[in-house]
Amino acid sequence: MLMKRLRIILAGLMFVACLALFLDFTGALSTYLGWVAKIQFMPAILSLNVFIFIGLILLTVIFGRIYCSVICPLGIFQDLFGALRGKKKTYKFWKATKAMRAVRYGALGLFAVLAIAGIMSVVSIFEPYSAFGRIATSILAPAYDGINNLFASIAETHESYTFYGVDVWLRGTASLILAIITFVGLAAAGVLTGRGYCTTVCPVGTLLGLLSKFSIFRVRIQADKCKNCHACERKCKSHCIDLSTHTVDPERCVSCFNCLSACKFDAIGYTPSLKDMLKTTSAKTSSETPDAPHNAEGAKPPKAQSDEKPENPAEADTPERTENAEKAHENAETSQKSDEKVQENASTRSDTPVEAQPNARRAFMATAATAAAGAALCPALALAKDGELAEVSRKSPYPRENVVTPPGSNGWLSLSKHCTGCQLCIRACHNKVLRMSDDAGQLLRPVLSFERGYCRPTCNDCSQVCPTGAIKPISIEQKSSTQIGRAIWRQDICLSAKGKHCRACGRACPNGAITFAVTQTAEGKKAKIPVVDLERCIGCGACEYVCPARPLAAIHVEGIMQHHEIS
Amino acid sequence: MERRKLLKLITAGGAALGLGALASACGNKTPKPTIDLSDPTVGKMTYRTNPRNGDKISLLGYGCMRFPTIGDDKSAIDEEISQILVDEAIRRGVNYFDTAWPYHGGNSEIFIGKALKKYPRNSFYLASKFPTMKEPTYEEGIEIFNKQLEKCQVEYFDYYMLHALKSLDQFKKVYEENRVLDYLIEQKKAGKIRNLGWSFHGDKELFEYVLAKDVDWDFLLVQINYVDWIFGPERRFDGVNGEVPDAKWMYDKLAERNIPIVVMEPLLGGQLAKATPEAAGILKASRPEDPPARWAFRFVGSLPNVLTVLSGMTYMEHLVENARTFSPLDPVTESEKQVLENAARAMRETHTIPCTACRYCMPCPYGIDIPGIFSYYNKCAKEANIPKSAKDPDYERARRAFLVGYDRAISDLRQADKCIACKQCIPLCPQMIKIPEEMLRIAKLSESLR
Repeated sequence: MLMKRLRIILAGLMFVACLALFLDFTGALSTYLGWVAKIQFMPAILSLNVFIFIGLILLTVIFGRIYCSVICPLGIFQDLFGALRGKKKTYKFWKATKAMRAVRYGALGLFAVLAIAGIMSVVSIFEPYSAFGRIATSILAPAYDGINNLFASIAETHESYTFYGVDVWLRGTASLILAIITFVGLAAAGVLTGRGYCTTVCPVGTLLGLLSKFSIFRVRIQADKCKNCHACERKCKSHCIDLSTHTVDPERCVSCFNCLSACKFDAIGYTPSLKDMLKTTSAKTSSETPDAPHNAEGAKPPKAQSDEKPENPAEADTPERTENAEKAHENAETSQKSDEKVQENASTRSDTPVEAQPNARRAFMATAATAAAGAALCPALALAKDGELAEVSRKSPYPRENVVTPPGSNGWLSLSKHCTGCQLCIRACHNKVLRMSDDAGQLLRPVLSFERGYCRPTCNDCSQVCPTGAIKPISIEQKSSTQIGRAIWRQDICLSAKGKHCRACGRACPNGAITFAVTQTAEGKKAKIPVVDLERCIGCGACEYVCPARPLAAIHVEGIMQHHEIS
Repeated sequence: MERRKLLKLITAGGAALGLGALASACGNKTPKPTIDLSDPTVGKMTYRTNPRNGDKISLLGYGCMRFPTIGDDKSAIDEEISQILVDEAIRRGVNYFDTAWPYHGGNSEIFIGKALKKYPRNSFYLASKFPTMKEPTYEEGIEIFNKQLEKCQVEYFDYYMLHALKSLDQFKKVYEENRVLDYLIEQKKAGKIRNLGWSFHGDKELFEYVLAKDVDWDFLLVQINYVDWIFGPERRFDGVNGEVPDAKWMYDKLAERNIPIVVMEPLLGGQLAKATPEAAGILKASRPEDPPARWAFRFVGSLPNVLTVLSGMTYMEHLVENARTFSPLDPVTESEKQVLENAARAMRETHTIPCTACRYCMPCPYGIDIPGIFSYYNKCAKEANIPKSAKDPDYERARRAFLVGYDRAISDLRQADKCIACKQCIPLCPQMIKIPEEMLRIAKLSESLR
């Protein structure tokens, strides 16, 4: 009882901490909760954090897969789904399953090969911490933000500014879709089987399972006390209890202690090997007919509990109820998503030249959002009736030849090898620059795009939160002199090149890398065009962000393979 | 709009698209999203034919002196990245690789040997150079040459040069008294050198002396760029030397004898890629979308007697940009030459030091970090050229802090004020920079800023 409660309390705390880390948009909690992400298995490996790695190994060798029960947020998440079953306490598929070593080892081997080969995209789809981060950022966070916005708008009407509204927007289609698939899969696994994910695909679980074979503490069944009532089996989330031999498969057992509290005969214990050996030796002889209740002849019923029905689920109710309530609340959050207010703080600069299009009387709709590069200039700004607001749309993401990766990541090559795709950086980005790449080769990696903001010189938040070291901490000073991309200008869609008076990019450039040169338009009209000093540009994207051309910016940042210091 | 998009995605094509994304993620396992395989310029590289033997050489050659390194250690080549660069260069049609004994502290030859190992020997041209500056004896010369073949893992060099001929005395000592030239000519006869030439950084007297020698020189490696071409030695505002031949004079002499030319420093150590705002404005007005470096490459590439133009490409974006410039070459017109002249004039106004970071001056016996100091000085000088009003105050603050920190990065023991003017570096500098004088100037300047 005590063990299970302790497990639930620890897991609950850890889950709340993980959730808070991912959902908090103020940036205040990452300082205090950053360790929650850093102690996860995959981040510890990727950041070569030897202390945490050894710590986790020792933990597993001593206590078994307790990591899966109280540290892994995805595992705990699955338990929450399991708790959803409500009064029907047995899992739909509760019978003990085969070890399925081929599946688990195969998956682990495949992931190891991919990880060593540096193909992390595929690994991060199945890696538990990353999968949790994906769900938290893509599904839970928008819901959380939506509720926050609801509070904010209600509070505002009462002249309270305790809450403030935040933008809710899509930060990566592929990522969202994968998150939904993972979410549904996880929910199904949780409700139907308990820890279905952890005992089949999860590479971290399988690896820790291998270590757990040697664990000192583990769940053991005393054959002489066991009545073969299957109560423990019904409660087991990993389906790893074999009553025919009275053994628990240490590879799959996640040390949740459900069986301990389920057993009415005190036949199951969590004990170190040596002490327990003596008790289990006699078990193996009498195991031919596992379903017969009178099988364990030699055992006397324990004195206090002999009259109770084995399947009575009286205890352990309270903690699971709490979980239930928590889950229900979360569900409410999810369903709120559709009602959330999408606040578009069109914070375009005041000097964005709306009047730069005096002759564009007609309101052009920048509908061709999917226009390929090379599309004709589609004037973004058109004047409405006198005294009204001109129509203006958001730019489409530029179809970059090369992705732009965050400062500190040292370019896509390094990023793709070290990033586990947890999306913590995406959530941390206040300039609305970072998003998850939809590009196949760079899938689930953070990339920069500048439709909603640019990478401000004063910010290095993403590098501060990264648990894997894929984005290494970079000082503001270093960032000021590190080139992460280069601004490329296109004559064919530039307003200024067509003779309009536009200096938006030059005015926005924080380091004076853009000057203007006099040239002529095709019609022989005098025009000024932006000249980018490519050796000075740091690729912050300010020019792309403010560019009035639609649907694509006439000046955009192209990523570079390796970030480097500007001269 | 966003909400609708979100909902649509969740409900409708969600699952299907997800599977698609998964499948494509599994199918496309190479983490190479940034190399554009559909680049239409790939396969259009301009090649020049060597009139002497019919070698078809790409007009862009890969200089192996500036590979990316791990940290600040110039001899620690980042082999993983460099291999990607070499592979991409070959994919884009580059087939000439120019290395030398001292590059990257001797590791350049070893690396390029490894990097080219997977390509058939007849699919690329490898060039290396005999280290004149080491002033080896005949026996040492033999040892060095064989060691070079071994380092590069080849049986022969396609192009081989006497490296950095700079003074007549040194030439006479190494190649005549020590008879190294005889040995190299033997090697050519033995087929271990296919083309023998020399790389040049000296004065007119040396140039004419070596050219007049009774040797059938197959090619020459000389410094040509549009600033050198237009102003000749004049542009070396700090190291003017009347004897230094200008690029045009050398080109004409060689064209007269039908000796093909390999061009080095087409960008003047990268300086022509960082044209001043004024010069860049002049160039952009004529060809708005072209980066300044493209002009410099087009200029030298347009000279008919040029076999290949070397560029030491450190970064992928430079490689891609340069390869595009030559795929195919768009020769400069007469009117464009005028534009270049105007730009060259505008460029002379900057007071940066024309150091190309070739490191031939290193190590300074007194421990001064000469290229480091020059690079730092140039950074600060260029920073001062940018008007304060053009910068975001936050950026300005951070950048200033960075530059001050960079100053500290050069240990006080290696700063300019420790130069004792021993003048040992002066003959080593191929750019004729009067290093001790510059050091004094920089020392005074930094003292005045403290």
